[in-house]
Amino acid sequence: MRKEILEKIISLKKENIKLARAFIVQAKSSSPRNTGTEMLITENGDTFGSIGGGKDEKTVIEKSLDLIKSGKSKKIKLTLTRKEAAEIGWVCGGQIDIFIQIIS
Amino acid sequence: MENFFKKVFNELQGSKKILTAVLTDIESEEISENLLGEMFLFDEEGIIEFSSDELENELERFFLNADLKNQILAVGEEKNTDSQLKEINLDSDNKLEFFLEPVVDQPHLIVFGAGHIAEPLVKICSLLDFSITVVDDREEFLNFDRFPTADQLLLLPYSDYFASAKIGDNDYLVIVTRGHQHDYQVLKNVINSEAPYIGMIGSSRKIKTVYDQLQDDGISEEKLAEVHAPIGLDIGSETPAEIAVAIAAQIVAVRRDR
Repeated sequence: MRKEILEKIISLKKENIKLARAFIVQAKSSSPRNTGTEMLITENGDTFGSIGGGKDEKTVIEKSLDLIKSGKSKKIKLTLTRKEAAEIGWVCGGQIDIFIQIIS
Repeated sequence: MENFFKKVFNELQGSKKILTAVLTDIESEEISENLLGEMFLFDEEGIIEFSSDELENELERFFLNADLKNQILAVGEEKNTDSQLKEINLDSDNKLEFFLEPVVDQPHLIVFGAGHIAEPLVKICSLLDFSITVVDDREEFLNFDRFPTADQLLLLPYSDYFASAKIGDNDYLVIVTRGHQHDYQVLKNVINSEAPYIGMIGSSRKIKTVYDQLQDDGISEEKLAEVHAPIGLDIGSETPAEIAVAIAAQIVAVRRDR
């Protein structure tokens, strides 16, 4: 977890904003460096940081908004095709597991 | 959970290595699913804080078996700073998975443009304790084959990057895009940020073109004077690798207040 994210969480919670932290917990691709990459999503749909952009990030944001409403954290799996993987800068396709942590 | 994050922040002010563990999976009849996402903070000596009493109670119930605790704490002693998933078998019926990661206050290098300067620059800067992001919209340049030591590669148009990212006072920025229109666009977005270092590559003619455009936009001369352009310390660099060394040296000088 990066200090900037930590500071952002503290300042958002001070304003009583509901939010989720989404981070990559496992990536079955040639590069493990993405693990731990994180972003914040607020109940208003504002985001801070990025887990790579593109279509998958949109999916993660939408899923996070649902989970914020239900108040439950969850691990989700995304399967990337080769092309989709290339779009977020990965060498080959594969599965990534993202944990969406609700910060109550 | 708010107090938990405040505690993490306070502990970060010290110099020792601290880590967090997030409960990311539960295979158990006994342990409530509601604990998913709960956390604890620890260092090599032990657990410092839990985000919920319930998690603390559940873990204490099983952690009477000291081996389990040691399995997690051992991660705190490891030298590498990468995060990892750790499966903990509490007993034959109960299994937990934690995501363990260090809490870090690393300076962050953001390189705009994934071309021939960026490649050696990222290599060098990864030796200097920076976490590194490279942004470019060209798939053929932006990949982990070319940037094996980058932490994050963002394949986006620069405008999309600035739509969601906020530059902070821990961000060091290097602008080495493929053309002066892109350099202009990036510089315009970051010139009023708190970034301690902004460097832009280019000939004095190109730099002047970009500055003229920005002055037309109302950016003051004083602001532009803070930009490091031409970029890098003057060591007579000729090759991309030599230019990268000059840029890296300049970044270190700024970081160390020289």
